[in-house]
Amino acid sequence: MTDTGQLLSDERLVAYADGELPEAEALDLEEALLRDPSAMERLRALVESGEMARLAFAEIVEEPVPERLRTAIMEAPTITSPEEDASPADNVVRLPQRPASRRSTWQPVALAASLAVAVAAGIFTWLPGGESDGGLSPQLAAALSQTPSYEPVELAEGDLTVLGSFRSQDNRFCREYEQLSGNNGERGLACRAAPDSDWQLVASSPIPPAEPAQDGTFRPAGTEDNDPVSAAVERLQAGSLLTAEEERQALGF
Amino acid sequence: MKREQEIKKDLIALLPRLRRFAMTLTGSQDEADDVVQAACERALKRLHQWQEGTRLDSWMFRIVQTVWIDRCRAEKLRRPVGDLDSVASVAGEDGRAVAESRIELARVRKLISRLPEEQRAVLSLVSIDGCSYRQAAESLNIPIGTVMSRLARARRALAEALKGPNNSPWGEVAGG
Repeated sequence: MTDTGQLLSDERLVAYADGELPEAEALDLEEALLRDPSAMERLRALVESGEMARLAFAEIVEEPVPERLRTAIMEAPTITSPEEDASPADNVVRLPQRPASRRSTWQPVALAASLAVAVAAGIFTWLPGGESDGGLSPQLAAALSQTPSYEPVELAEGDLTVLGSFRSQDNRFCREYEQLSGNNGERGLACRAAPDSDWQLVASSPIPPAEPAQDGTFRPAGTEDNDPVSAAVERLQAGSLLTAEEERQALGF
Repeated sequence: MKREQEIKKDLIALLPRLRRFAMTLTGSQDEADDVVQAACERALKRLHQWQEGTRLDSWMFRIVQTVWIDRCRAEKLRRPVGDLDSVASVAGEDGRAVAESRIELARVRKLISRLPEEQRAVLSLVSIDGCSYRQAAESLNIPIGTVMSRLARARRALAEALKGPNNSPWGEVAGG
């Protein structure tokens, strides 16, 4: 590579465009650039790709932040002294520790009723507990038909947040949700076969009152092996979670 | 140490930028929000590790990245790789109904999602968030020279993909 080639390397062109070259070097580079039209082309392309990247993610910072994030911060426990903290420093990459199973206290309620619903919905595998009438309240059903994931809505029974949507292997539209009321809550999975058919509750489990989280943990939606909702998701889900756009289509927006 | 409530407010003010950074890492808004939430909770439990007077945003970017890496490792056990690509390509097709420029920007996001993870993080902080090279280096705990080389590779790969092989100023042999 020639001297000019090194002077006009992609790295230096990008640093120049970003205003990160010391002034003297920037002047040298400009001078060399005038004699090298192909480097000028590269500079233009590199500036453009940076600008496109910026624009591609520009809208996200304008969007309202989901309320759950603010709430999580305001309610999160803080530790301000090393004595309280038994965790390794942040430059150590660790596998996440799962919280001690918070939902292991679920109890099969009226198993027979939910069995009937599940059989009607074409599910013959292992069946979790569910609501006694096997269905959902009209309010919850309506909210599931209208609410995008991660946009909490207030219902009489508690605040509802849909955690994600997916297609089941038999092509039903399924949504996992969480309903919180005071210190208690419930997670559930409901599916419907078509936009005009009723939601069927596939699985639900109570969320015990939150205990102080252990360090470094987060609440993964449905990862405990013994949780009926997670198990149902695992069993039914075909492919990945729907994107926001796919979800809008499925909801008929 | 600053009062905890003030730091919480500062964190909330940082949320839009943290979400965007996480979004460039995860490729999905829902997952980005999960990562940001986990990062904030983790940070609040380690406030003593943050030195007052240093940049809170740099520290938070780093924790967001750490949480994401942790998650990737855990996810690899459960989820087939390539998910990001399939999500991005579907989103691109859906763009037909939307305006031209939106399609183009969706395409840019898709291309960025295909960059190597370490290039994406640098591109995100410098070109998207507007951090200086020094701040990006501090946030990601890498030397400035590494910031420069990763950034140049990311910007070139993106530029070549946007121009197409026939119009690339680097010649017709595209890097990928």
